[in-house]
Amino acid sequence: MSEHGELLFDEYEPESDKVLLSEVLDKVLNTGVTISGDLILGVADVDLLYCGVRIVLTSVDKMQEENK
Amino acid sequence: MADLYYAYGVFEGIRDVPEGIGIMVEHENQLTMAFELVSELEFGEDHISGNLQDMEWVTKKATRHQRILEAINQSGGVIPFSFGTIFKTRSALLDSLRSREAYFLQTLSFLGNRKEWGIKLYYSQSLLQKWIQNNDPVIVQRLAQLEEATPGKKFILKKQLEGEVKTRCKDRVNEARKALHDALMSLKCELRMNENVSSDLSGRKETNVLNTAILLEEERWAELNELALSQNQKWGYGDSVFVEVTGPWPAYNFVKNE
Repeated sequence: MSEHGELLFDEYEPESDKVLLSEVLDKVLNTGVTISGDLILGVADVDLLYCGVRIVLTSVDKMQEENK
Repeated sequence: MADLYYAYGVFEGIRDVPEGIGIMVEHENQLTMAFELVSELEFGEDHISGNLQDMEWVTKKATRHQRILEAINQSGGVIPFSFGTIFKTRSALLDSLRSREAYFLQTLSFLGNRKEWGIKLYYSQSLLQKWIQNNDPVIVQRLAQLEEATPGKKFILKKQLEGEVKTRCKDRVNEARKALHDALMSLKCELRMNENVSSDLSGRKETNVLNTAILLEEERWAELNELALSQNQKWGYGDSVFVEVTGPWPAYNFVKNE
């Protein structure tokens, strides 16, 4: 549905601050109001995501190397 | 395949939302909810578990979530929803907005025009130890004595000195942490203490020893900036102990669940 927004908002920049990226993930995945929609990610899912942050950071490094 | 309604957050009144990227709003009395239609193939119950294992997908979607809320947050307070708040129908979304009106209004009134800022204190063990060896008068003196000691005594003195440097390192970090905490308290604003972030998660090689979020009016940014700069300068430890400020963020840490 939102493909027309890809360039402006979906493209995170691998060169941007890794630190900020981890903070974004922390805030978006672990804080904010949880209201009951029809579908909401459970805590177990978020824990899984959180463990995976390291993988994201590693892949960012990899992408930077590939871009050189 | 049907679309789902991915909700980003709620704000008061009518306000500009990012244009041209599929963000829509639904109004109910004084409140507005920003949402987007997303594909059930991506966010539906049968598909999302698989996507959650794909960290590139998660990063992309979480970054979009933040950037949309960030854009809304620029023009006033917003209640940020957690990642993945999804309704199956527009009427379910509207029902949620309607049934929680009092709670949303109360939360927005509490936030006012304040924004969240992240303030963290980091230190580098190796750099701080070097700084202490070069600048702490007691340690400098004991290092000089070490040079003059006999080989046998030198070994023992060196071990003692290493322990002393580590202790002083710990003391100075504790002093810096207390000073920063006290300085933040002096701002007289809402303050949240969060768990320190491990290096794996922060992506920094330095150690996080204080992790806070504060809620502060955006026009007081200069005050916060000054506070961070003065803390960094006050200790004079160069890059070994430093304060990091990020923001303004939507008030993720200051919205309580109903």
